[in-house]
Amino acid sequence: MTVLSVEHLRIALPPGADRSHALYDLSLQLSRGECLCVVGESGSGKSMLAKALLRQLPPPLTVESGRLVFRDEDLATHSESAMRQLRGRDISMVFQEPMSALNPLLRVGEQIDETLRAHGQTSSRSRRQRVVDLLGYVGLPDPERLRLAYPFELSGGQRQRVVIAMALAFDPALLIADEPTSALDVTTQAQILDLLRKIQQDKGMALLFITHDFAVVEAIADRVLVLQKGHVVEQGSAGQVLREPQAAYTRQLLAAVAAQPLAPRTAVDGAVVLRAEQLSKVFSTRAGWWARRTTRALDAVALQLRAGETLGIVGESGSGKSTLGRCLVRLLRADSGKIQWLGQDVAGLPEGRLRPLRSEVQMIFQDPFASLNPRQTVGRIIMTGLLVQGRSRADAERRARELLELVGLPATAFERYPHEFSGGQRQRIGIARALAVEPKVLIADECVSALDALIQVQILELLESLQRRLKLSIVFITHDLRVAARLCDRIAVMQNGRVVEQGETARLFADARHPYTRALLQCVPATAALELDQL
Amino acid sequence: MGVFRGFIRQPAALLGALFLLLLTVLALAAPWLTHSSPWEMNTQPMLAPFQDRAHWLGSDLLGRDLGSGLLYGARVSLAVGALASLATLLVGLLVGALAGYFGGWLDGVLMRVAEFFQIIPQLVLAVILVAVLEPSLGTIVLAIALVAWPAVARLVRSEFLSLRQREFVQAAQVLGQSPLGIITEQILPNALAPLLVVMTFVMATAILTEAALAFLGLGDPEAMSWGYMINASRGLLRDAWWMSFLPGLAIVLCVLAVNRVGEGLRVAFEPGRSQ
Amino acid sequence: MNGALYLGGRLLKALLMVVAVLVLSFLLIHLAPGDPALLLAGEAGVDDVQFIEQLRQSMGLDKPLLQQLLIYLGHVAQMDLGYSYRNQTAVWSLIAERLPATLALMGSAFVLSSVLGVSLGVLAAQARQRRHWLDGLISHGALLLYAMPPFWLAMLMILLFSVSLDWLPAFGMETVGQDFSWLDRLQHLLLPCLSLSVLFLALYIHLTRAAVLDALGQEYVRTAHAKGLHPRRVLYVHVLRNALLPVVTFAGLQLGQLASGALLVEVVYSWPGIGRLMYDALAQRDYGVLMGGFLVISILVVGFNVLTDVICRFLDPRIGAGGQG
Repeated sequence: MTVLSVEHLRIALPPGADRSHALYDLSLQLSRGECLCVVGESGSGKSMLAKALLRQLPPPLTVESGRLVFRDEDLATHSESAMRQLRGRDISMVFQEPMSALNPLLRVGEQIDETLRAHGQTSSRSRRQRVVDLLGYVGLPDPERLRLAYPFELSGGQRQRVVIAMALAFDPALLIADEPTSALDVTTQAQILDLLRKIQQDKGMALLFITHDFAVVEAIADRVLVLQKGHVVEQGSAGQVLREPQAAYTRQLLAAVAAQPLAPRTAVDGAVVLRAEQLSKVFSTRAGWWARRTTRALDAVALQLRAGETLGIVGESGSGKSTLGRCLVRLLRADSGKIQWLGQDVAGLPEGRLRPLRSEVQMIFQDPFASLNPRQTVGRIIMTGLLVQGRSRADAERRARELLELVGLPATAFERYPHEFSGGQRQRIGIARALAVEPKVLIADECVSALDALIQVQILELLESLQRRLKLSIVFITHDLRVAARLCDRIAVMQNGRVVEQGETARLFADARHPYTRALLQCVPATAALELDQL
Repeated sequence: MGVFRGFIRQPAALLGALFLLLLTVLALAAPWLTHSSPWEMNTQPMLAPFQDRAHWLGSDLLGRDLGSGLLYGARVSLAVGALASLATLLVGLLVGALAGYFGGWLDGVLMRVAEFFQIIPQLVLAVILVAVLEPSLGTIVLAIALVAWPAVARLVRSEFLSLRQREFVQAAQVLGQSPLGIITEQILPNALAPLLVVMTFVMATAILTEAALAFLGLGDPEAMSWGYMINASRGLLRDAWWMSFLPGLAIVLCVLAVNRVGEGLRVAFEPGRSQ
Repeated sequence: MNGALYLGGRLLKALLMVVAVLVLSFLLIHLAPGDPALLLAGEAGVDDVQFIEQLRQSMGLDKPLLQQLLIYLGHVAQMDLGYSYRNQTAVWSLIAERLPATLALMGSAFVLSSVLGVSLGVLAAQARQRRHWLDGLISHGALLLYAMPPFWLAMLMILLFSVSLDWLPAFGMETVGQDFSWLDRLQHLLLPCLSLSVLFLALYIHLTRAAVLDALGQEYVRTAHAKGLHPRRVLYVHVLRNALLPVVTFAGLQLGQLASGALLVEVVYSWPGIGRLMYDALAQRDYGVLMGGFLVISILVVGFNVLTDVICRFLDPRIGAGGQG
């Protein structure tokens, strides 16, 4: 039985946007109990579909033509109050950021309660019971007590469960989920996906799942629809699209998320360029008046990096990987332990003695939008390190122009400002800045996490080629095991401040020993990992 | 340069800036524009505007020319506005930078002090200060700076705190830039925009505070101030309302102009707008 | 338990601030050039040698500064704010007499400006969302009000409502010679209250508008709409509830400004409050009364500030609970 039918939907964009329509001629069908994944990069228009269905397009955008048919009724014929009745009751939505989807000042139970009240449930006792039932159904512990909690008292995964409970209040026929797991850890994401699958099976609910992540598609989709810049590029069953994609774009996307190494791995046996031993760091923050909350960010971490090698550091949020990166580059002082840059002890060096050595180890940062000074030209940004070292202006300028070419940016970029460039291009600028001082070691802290899949591949390929040409050694920090597999010779897995396992990439994928590593591997899409076995 | 272009493209801001420029020129040229000192009682009292060629804005209770009063009053308002803003900037910048860059207990103490000065009634404190130290241009500027610095310090501190964590500042640290270099090259240019905007607020408040002090009789005794003029004509509201109206109007226009300039700067500084 | 700890913390902070006010007053007295005793005796008492000598003794001017401070703190703790030679009464009784009038003025202006200011701010924000011209009107109106010196505005209002239209009285708190009547008091209160409210009206409008616009753009508002809640519920429970927070915080900080504005308004209307008292004392060079007035007003303001802190905590469960606010 068809629950949703979208016919030739066109959504116009206001003049001045980068294209004429958010969606050109989108058609899809969704049956009861079926899950359709809408896949696309950012800017593909996938979120607009969800908003159009609920008639919540932001004002300048309008539905130009096409039909939205829900349960055999054309939604265009519904009045606003009729739509309001549908929302939250027959069609529900789950958004991406659970922290911001919940009102921080209201108790969690009350936010579910108001949905019930809005759709006609008058008895407060039955409402309360329903809230408790819903919270229990989505797997939250102690629902009686939890319904009195405020959002900030819950973890990200718990909040998302609350949002899902809210959406399920009236057993909707259609659930629209817009990137509901993108802000969560991989392991939490797996749990939420399990929950959604269970709900689907129990209630026969139709699920429209919007995502950019093929791991998710693999886990949950029955059918897949691929969007590129507002155009439907491909549509079909999950098995068919994932294993035998017809469109070139789909093939590109799938190739981008493969865990295949970019270049054949060569043996590494150079000297040790970076070493850490017994590295520990504890953060203590104020909690209330007298109490102090201590977090053990790093717990006796030991690792080493050889010349020409790429070492991956993989962990979820809270694992300590970012702290490790910052300690290695001496942005933070570790509490105890040794750090050696090219054989020299630097952990305890005062800043003044450290400064002349800094050119040996450089960092590439995560956020392409925050890592460049918005008030300086690109050329000036790249020249910063050289000028600090005392090189002449002319000299620094010449070198900066060379670097622009090296990282694949046009020469005209020199006089332009960061805001004129895209995320991927800004990362290139960041790489050029780091390379200006000719470091031996690069620490890349989640430097591709904020980029779309196809751009990610470009940056990874750039790093790989730069490594070969300039004989760099790289520490690659990421939360995504699959990305690490593309670039890294060895991988160290971190959890709660400790390195739980490390070893060569291929070996890790084939035969992981630690249960946490195995849990992480579970979340890498099977199609991606397939390639790795064939090494 | 992009900022400049972004600024002049806004009509209200441009108008405000031109007005202030014009007023400054007029104020500086006051001795040549009017041939009488504003204190000189050189004409028939209570003259209405547009009656006498030589005193086209009329005269007050004691026969003092209102036009020259307004011009000389502009000197006081603009001078106090500028000087008090500068003094506030210096104190606020110092305190805010110290608190923001070093953090820890120093930050806590400085911020509690700032909060204290923001909570207590500011004008009342200024009144007491000027009264106790005897009114003069210096004491007025001092009093205004003493009550206005917390707003600037808070802003500078929050800018420092947020910018210090920003990745481009960290990148500069990793590249080996010295703390002074980081402050001047990375932090200050980015803190400049909100700082300038707050400064226009401070200037507007300074003008209003000076007027209030003069109104209460605490103005510089040698300088004719708009606030003083309003007070002097208070009793004549019924018969000669323009005597109080004109100086007040001058204050309103001044404050509006400063405010619009601030708003224009805020918009012009937004990255991406200046192209 | 958390709440009680927070309250305790706030009270402690208030106490510290009060002490700071006292120390500041003390320093101000001693900052002036010349003899503090002469300063406090005022123009009127300067010639009375015996009085000056008594004053010197009670202030302990021959003792080290720190001890003088302690003596001063001790006096204040016993409600002894000095003696006004000019009026031949204790400063505290002068102030206590005038306190209700100032409180009435400040209180009524606070209520009027906040209620009206918040309502207009919400209207302006909603109008902005719909690109309606009302937003421009309200915002620019608020800007104009902000630019006007309060005393000048008060005079304009007198000109309009009292002189031209003769609707309302413009002097003092009651008609001289008449028996006490609430209506009469209220009529006298109206213009001063309006004059004082106007400035804060502008500030509340501006702040509320910004806070509401910010709240309207939040994800949880979109979620609320997506759940099918009635727009009115979304507005009151989700938008306003969250937008009120910065407004209340701001209100707490503005009380000092309100007191300053009250001073100016009292002068213009000859309203018999502390502000007018201080203005007269200024003219008479009666510094004892001036300092006393400053002290009382400051302590009042600090007290109300604690109140708003507590209200904020009540509104936002994140404050003081270790969660990010």
